[in-house]
Amino acid sequence: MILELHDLVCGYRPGKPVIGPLSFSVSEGEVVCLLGPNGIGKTTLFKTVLGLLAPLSGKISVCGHDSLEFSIKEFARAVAYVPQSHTPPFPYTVRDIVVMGRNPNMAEFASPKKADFDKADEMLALMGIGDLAGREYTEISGGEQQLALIARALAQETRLLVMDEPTSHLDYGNEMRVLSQATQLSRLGYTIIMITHTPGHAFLCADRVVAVGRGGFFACGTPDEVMTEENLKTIYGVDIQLAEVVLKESGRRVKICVPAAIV
Amino acid sequence: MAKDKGGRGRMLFLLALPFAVFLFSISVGRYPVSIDSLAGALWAQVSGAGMDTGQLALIRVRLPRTLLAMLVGASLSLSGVVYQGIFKNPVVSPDLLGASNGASFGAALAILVGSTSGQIQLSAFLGGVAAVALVAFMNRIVSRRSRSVVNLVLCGMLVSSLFNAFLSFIKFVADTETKLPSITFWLMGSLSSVTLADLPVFWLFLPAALLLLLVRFKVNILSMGDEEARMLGVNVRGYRWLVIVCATVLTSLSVSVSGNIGWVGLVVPHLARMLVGSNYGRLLPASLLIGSAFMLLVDTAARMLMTVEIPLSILTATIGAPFFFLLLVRTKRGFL
Repeated sequence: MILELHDLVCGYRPGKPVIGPLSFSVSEGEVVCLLGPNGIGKTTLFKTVLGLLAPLSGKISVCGHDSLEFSIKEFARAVAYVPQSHTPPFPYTVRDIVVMGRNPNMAEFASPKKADFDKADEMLALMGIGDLAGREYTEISGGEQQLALIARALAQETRLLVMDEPTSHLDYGNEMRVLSQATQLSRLGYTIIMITHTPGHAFLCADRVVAVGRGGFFACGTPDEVMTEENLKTIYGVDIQLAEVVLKESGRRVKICVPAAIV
Repeated sequence: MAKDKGGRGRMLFLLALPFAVFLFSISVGRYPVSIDSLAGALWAQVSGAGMDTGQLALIRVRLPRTLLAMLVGASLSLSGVVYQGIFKNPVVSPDLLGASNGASFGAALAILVGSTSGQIQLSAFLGGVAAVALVAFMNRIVSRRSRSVVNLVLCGMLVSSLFNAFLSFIKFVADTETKLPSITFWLMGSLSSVTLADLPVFWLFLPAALLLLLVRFKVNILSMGDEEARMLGVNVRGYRWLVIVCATVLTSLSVSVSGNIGWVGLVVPHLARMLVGSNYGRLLPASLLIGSAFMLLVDTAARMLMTVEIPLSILTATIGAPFFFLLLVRTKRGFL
């Protein structure tokens, strides 16, 4: 198990839990989608898993070790975080941004060496945006920025990637580009946990779904198990019908979510 | 960065710049000096041989002044550029956390009680450090409830304004015939009273500047935001305080040597960014080099332009403000 949560309770202040207790585990190579309505505490859970917030109770283990035992640097060698893309205050080049991911593998007072820049270029190429290395990060599109941030996480050389809504603010094409890169990465053996607000993404790319809802609703399992019409209604509070589409070329069956009641 | 040949050429040019300005500045003035006689004077100083009046003036007055102008410019530019990074804001200057106001107060207090120039410098330096220490202390209390870098900035504003009030009080009670003018002139900034005895401040400058150069890659990461930096394996609080301590030492040092000089810490980093880009790997050394050359040019102008010395802050503001306007108009801004 690359990540295990044991009765984890998360929150900002002791005595005021926001989410939990939750228990689930993620095994290597899985793509896990975390679903839930706004304000349910997905971000709080994410921050706790990432070590930015201390757990109120319960335990997180990463690669079999209690996450509290990791130093900041060791943790960054085990877990890489892909934030939502935002504009940095200075126009760094894409390569400068990606090479920041080399930090956990560098000495304290060191600057990146040629090998680090090579690694950054390699990861940019893997994300299919190798030609953007010299461009200013602030000038590339939102989808390219997100791919660059994934490349930066890959440069950390961890096996576990944690993505916070990797497709938010992206147009449909870029959304699919980012999702398919995530699927490719899981084939390469990376484990990916992502928050998503589009339940359909779970059918497209997830091996497992963790869903949280109001009133302590919690479900964890394969997309087919968790994403039933009943559960989706509980999670989002709207009627959703599931439909199945057979893709023309591959003959693959994909489920889609259709809102049943738009008046 | 590694593949950018043009950038390397620019860095070489910037490396040569302070030396060129140094040679220019040292040879012009009331006693024009050729490079030969500079070498002769230096040799005389080292070997202990006799010197003529011109050589004495050169070694005892112009050389320390030239060197300290460069040191002050480098200090202010370095603190400005790293503050812009760790506070994620391109319009921040070195006085953000109150170091300049604290140092000004320290100097004014020492002048009021009639200290020697050495004591004034020490008092200014300690005032700057004390102001930032107070900010750190207040920030600890405030951050018990909510942790944010904004707390630090707000505490900085508060302490700056407090020390400004103390400074006004000292001016208010100071003797208007003797003390008040000297406080006012001191604060406007000048290097005219610098002597060889001031050169040892270099040993404070060196470790602070070196530490900042060593952590320059971390400043890139810190500018991405606290949470992101931590997830990239950076001890955010540790590095932030390391940078603040170094920048405070540099700012207090420069105020204690030359008085309160504005604009340099804001304009030079932008000029450097325009020339070598935003990556602190190059930006930090570039700011140091440009800052030292810029301040030296300004100080040369201060002693050359008129028969009386022009206070430095007047010149940096008159050069800095229009220059900054030009930068705003000309650069395509990814920042601001």
